[in-house]
Amino acid sequence: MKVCPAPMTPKYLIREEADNKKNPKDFHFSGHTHSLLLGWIVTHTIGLWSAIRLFLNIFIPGTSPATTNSFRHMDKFSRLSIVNVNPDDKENGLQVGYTFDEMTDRVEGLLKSIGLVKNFAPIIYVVGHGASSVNNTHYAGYDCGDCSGRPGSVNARVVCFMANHPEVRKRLSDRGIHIPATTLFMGGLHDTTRDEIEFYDETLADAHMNEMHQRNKAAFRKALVQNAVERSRRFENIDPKSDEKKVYALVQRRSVSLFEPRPELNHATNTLCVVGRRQMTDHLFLDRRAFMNSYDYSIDPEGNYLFNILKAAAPVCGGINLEYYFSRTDNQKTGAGTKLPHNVVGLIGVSNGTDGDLRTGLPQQMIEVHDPLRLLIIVEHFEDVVLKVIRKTPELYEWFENEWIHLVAVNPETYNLSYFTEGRFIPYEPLAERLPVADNVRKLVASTRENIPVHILS
Amino acid sequence: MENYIEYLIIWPVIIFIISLFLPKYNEKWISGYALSVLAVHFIASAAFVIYWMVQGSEWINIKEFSVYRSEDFDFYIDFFFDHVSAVFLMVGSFITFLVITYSRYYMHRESGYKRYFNTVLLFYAGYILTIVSGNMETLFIGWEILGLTSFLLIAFYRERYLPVKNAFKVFSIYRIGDVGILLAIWASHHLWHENISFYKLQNFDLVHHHLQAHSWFGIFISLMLLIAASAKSAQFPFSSWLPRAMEGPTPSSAIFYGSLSVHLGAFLLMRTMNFWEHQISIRILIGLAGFFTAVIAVLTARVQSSIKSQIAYASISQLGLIFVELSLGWTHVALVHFAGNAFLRTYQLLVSPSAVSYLIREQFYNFVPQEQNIGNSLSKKLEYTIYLMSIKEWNMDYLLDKFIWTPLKDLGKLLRFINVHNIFYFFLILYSLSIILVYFKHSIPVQVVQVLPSFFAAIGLLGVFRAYAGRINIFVCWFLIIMNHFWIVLAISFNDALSAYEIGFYLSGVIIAAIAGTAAILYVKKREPGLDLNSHQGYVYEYPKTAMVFLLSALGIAGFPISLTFVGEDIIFSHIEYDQVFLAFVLSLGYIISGIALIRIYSRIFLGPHAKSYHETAIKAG
Repeated sequence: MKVCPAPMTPKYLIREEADNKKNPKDFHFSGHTHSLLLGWIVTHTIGLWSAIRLFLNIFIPGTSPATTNSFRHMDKFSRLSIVNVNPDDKENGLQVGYTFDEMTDRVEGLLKSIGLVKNFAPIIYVVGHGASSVNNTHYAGYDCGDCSGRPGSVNARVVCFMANHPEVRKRLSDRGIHIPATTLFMGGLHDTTRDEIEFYDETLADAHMNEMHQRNKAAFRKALVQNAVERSRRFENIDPKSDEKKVYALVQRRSVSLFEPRPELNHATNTLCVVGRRQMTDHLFLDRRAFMNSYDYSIDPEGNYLFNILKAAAPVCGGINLEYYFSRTDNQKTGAGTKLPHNVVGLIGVSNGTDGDLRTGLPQQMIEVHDPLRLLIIVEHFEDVVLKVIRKTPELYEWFENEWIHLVAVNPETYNLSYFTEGRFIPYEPLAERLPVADNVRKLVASTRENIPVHILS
Repeated sequence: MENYIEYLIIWPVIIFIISLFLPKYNEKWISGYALSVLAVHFIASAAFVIYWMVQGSEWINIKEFSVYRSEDFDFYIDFFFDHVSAVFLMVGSFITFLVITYSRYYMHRESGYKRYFNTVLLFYAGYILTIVSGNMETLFIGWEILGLTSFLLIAFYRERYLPVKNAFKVFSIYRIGDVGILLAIWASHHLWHENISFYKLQNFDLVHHHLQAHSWFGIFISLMLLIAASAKSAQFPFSSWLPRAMEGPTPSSAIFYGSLSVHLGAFLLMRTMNFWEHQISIRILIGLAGFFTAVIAVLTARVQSSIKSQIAYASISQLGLIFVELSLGWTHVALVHFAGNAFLRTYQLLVSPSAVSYLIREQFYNFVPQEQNIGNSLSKKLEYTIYLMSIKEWNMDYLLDKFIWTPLKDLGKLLRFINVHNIFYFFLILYSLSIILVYFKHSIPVQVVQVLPSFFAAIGLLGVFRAYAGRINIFVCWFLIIMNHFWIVLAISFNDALSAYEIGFYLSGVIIAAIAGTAAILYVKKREPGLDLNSHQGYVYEYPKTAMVFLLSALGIAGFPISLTFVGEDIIFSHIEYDQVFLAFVLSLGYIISGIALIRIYSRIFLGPHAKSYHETAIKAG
């Protein structure tokens, strides 16, 4: 399965071996139920069983073969063929695995572009994301856009394998990045619908590390519950003021309920993409509306890594943003309308009923809380560097030139802002002099179901 | 026990009426109400059925009350309960309860939340009434409610063109089935000389005796019942409506077209089985029709590109097999088959959105490309022909259009010279002359009098065809449909013994509805001068109350069982002599087509995309 951004053509193949995951069957989807004699037998037998299935599914929702489960994308305990031993080892024109040089290039690129080249923590988590839902024709829209609408578990695991490999570390060291032997990269997958997390290759941790890992797991767990509570305020039938555990259970229940057209709200309300050091957004409450991209200008004076970031962020984040934008502004024509009458056509799309055209865009249930605003990308770097970077290719520049997305550069030394318009940066003075302060996030998020302005968390 | 069954029938009617008064925007109240009352009804039904079985499952027949009674005619409501009713009751109340529970969250924030629950509750009332009905008249009341609620739920997304178009199409085909029932009722009157109850049909000697004497009548009635059953159960050649009906929210498609509504054709055959099971020719016909449909539908189901039409055709093919089972006399097998098919298709429809992820995953693990060779042999050619025919659903949709609807429209176009300027004088003069003829009917030669009823009924019918043909002024259309009732009264007046009281009974409903409907049209026309019948205008958004008034008036005129017209129609039919088959046919065709034309007026004025571009509008093919 392709797990890179949709416009890109993959070159490598990662094979999953010793895969123990089952592909659970459900006879209800089988074409045999449509045949004459078998159909006759089926209706007399399984047909009656369907009544019980339906009853259970409605009153005690749980996972079934119909559910798309993000953790089922890859078996946690399978082996991946990551190392390429022979460059001629190809399958369908794809090279099986990576050579060590290719691995080193990739790890170096990743670390440099997020600005992580020193002060390595003992455990570094690389977490992909995916989603679980049922009865959701747009399920791919809930998974990772950079993975062609699939969960990012394989990618997370592969990159950790590379970064942990002694051969790669040796070569990285030659290139000036010294990762201490006491540092471990650990892959994971965040299920954004159920707010659950899964870790891969946990056995690589020694006793001491495992102790830290267990502590972190508890912290993750706490954060996930809080995340679920923060998300719940947008769901009308969950009261975010009620007990955390209860809210969490209700949020999880949505993901397996056949009758829930809003298992999660996905990227709805997105408006912002911040490319810069994380100190810039420290203690800021952004209401879950921002794409966050770590980047350190100081190790990239020429903007080479910035180009790689923007090359992906502009079309991916901008594309997501515009998809919501247009689906929201005219849901009937540029969106898919309400999803309740949707009919799956040929496994390639949905239509209304059996006569209608294929529907593009997003259904009403995904966009109703979204305000149609064009994406604002904030980049922490000098104006001239940013300008040079976005002009590198016409495919990238058109996003900014045509103002499909807004762009603001933050001067990393003076913190002055400048806004990109008509091919140049002009200075920008913020209207608000200071931001409101909030001391209790829980109270803040429970206060309204509408958008909440940016707050400083004390 | 008899009282108890009456509660089971009355309860859904009451819960529907109460549901109309719930606050429009309070989802919790609406769904909570619907859910709890249906749960109570389900439990009560189950308790009743168990009690009934313990008591020895004896047939129950309750003659409820007479709506209208004269010397030789008695229109009464009658209930009948046996094992067939029991199975349909249990399956129906269980599925409705589950689907309502499902819809509770599924419909969250959907505009029309209340409308959805109202309609499903009305559907349920109609369903219960149908399955415990004790005679054809009572069954027809329930049957008509089902037709109406189907229309309303298919056109649930009334702001789009296709749901409205398809709802209209399904309604039209349902009306073909209604002709069958109307004519069957008429012929039954003559066969039994009374309003026979299903209970009496169980009496073999009685049925046998009557059929011996009038075997052609028996065959006629059975044929009409078969037409009605085939239209309702989407059998050949009516199958193409079922996939097109999948326009509403998925749970409503599941309850109507996956499970309950579509099986009522089979129910009609089960209910009247004691009548037709002695006619070997009819049994063979039902069996062949069912088998033919089953084969065609299976072939079609295999090549449809969308999941819902696959399920629809699969369901049709199993229904075909149910028809075969019934023709063989296997009622019990058919009942189990009904339950299984209903549950299976309901569940399949409800999980149908999951098919994408499931089948893509399935393909990833198990897909083996099929060896294809393009041969030129006869078997290959045959295979491709069948393949293409199945993709095109065996042209059933096209054939219905070509052989039923288009000829009717062509007939109507003959009367194109009638327009808004001359219609009034034209009909006033013609009608006055006709009344004089009635007055002097004893002076007219008998041979002429014999032809006159059919002649006048045919004038009314032509008017209805004109109304149906389209491209017509609203008022002309409306007037032609109302006039049909007056022509019918005139026609029947040539037969004996139509009393002034009966005429009053019949026309009072028509006149009240006509006045209300005219007022509604005038009200909208005054505010929207551009109003016409040439396109859908969607005024229900700006005039919801007027739309409701108009719908009720239209239903009143169409003889929907909310008005006296319904009983009146039955009285009129009782005055058609048994040798006036043509007249009976003309009359029922008039009722059916005028019903369709009325619903078309309603759709054109009030449904479809907004006429005004400042409302959100969908693309036509969306």
